[in-house]
Amino acid sequence: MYKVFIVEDDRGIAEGITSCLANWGMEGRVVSDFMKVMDEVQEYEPHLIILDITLPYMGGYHWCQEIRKTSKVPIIFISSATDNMNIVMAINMGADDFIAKPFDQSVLIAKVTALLRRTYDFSKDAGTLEAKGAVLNTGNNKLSYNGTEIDLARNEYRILLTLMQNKNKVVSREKLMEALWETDCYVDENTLTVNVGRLRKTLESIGLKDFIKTKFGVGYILEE
Amino acid sequence: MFKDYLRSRINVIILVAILVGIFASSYFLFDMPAVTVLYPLVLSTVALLTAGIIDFLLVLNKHKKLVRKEFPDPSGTIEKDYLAIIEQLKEEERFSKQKASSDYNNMVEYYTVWAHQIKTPIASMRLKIQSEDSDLARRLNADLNRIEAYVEMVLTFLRLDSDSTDYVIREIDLDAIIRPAIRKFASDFIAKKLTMDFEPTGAKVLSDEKWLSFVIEQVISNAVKYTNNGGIVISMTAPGILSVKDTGIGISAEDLPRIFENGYTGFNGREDKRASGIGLYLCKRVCDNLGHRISAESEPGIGTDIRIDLNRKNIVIE
Repeated sequence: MYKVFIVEDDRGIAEGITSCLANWGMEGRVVSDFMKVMDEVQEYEPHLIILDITLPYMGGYHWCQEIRKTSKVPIIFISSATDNMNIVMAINMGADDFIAKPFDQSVLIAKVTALLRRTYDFSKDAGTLEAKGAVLNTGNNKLSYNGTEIDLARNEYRILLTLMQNKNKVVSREKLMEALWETDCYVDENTLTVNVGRLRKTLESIGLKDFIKTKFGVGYILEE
Repeated sequence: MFKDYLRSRINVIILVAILVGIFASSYFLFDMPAVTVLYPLVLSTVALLTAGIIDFLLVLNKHKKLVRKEFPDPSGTIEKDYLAIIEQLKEEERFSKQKASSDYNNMVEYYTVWAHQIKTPIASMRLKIQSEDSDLARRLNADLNRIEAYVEMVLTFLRLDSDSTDYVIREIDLDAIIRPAIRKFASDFIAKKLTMDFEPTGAKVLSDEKWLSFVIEQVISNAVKYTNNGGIVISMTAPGILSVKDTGIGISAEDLPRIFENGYTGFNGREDKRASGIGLYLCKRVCDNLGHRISAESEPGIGTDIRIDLNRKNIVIE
């Protein structure tokens, strides 16, 4: 499981990031002592660090330089100061990416997974999600069940992923559509129905019948 | 100038005329010989004219200096008084200019800090709301989007006239700007059941990524706001010309020429109390700064087509 260390002094954001990472099968830990960021990094040994620029005591730039003295771990800066100077500074300090506040969960996850993929062999042991014995690999869009593994089409993967992340909860059609829009598929309701239909057929082909249930008038649910 | 001079010396001229009158009438009454009158008359006239010309030249010289805003050495108490007042006014003006500019800088600084401060709670709320799947959460998220857009507008407004250091003109991938902009409004499109038709342009344009993003987001935001049925088409209609076309309520012909003016809301804006008339104005200003051109075509009831000409005119590539 990938470990992400979060250095952010706003509790709301820090918790938001942690729960967002958890949805994607990653573990997040938030810094506890802003004087000892380095010690905590060394102790936790994260695969990736998310660093705010404005922090108590010493700023994010300082810690970035400190971390870079001993480690090549990917670092993403998050900040509300988005002028080009700050972005240039952040990258010069050795950061790998920059996210402007306020950001979407999808943007955060896209950047985190992209960096992990580039740095480590992400597909091998990427976050996997499991439901009713079916395992979805978020690194290579493959679904395996009872020893058979199949490739999912982009939209099918996206729908299944959203349902698995919200296991045992009804997922509204709106939320599924938004998830597809995030991957630049501007689907309408009819297209969504067609896509879900296709996904069901694919699932049936490897023996997962009635995997996704329809909640009439609301959305879909994946129940265990 | 000469007329003004004569007018300013009118008291001397009248005085001389009275004196001439007194002398002439005395000579006439006492019946003096013509020579005794003419001789001093010619001499006096020469003396008077010489004095007059010298005086005029001096005044002319002074006038020329004053036109160049140079102050000639004051002659006499009155001029010294004037000069003292002028010096004092100059000093006061310098002071109030300094104060105004430092007040302005303080204000800009504060609003910039404020805009950054407000982004942290927005970010925090956004993350929390996005982990909820309900109508309420979606509506709150839409409101949050609007708050964020207003904050962006404040920052844009503040930075608009700052030094050009904030503009980084380079070749950018247009689609990489359009896609995130569309994504930003995904929930609005879905909630209003609007369609989005975007064929990737594949275009590379010379522009500033951040500023152009602002313009495109603003244009899409308007399109979504004023469209209730149908949808929006984003396409490149000609090389370098990006079109954002909606099937919305449209803009009436008399409003159309003025929509890019500051504070102009037009009929649609007056109907919709939230309109501030600043969005499109900012777009126009940003486009001007980037060397792009923005224009609009519209038909009420049919829709609006905003076009951004991304071909940069007469601007040197950095």
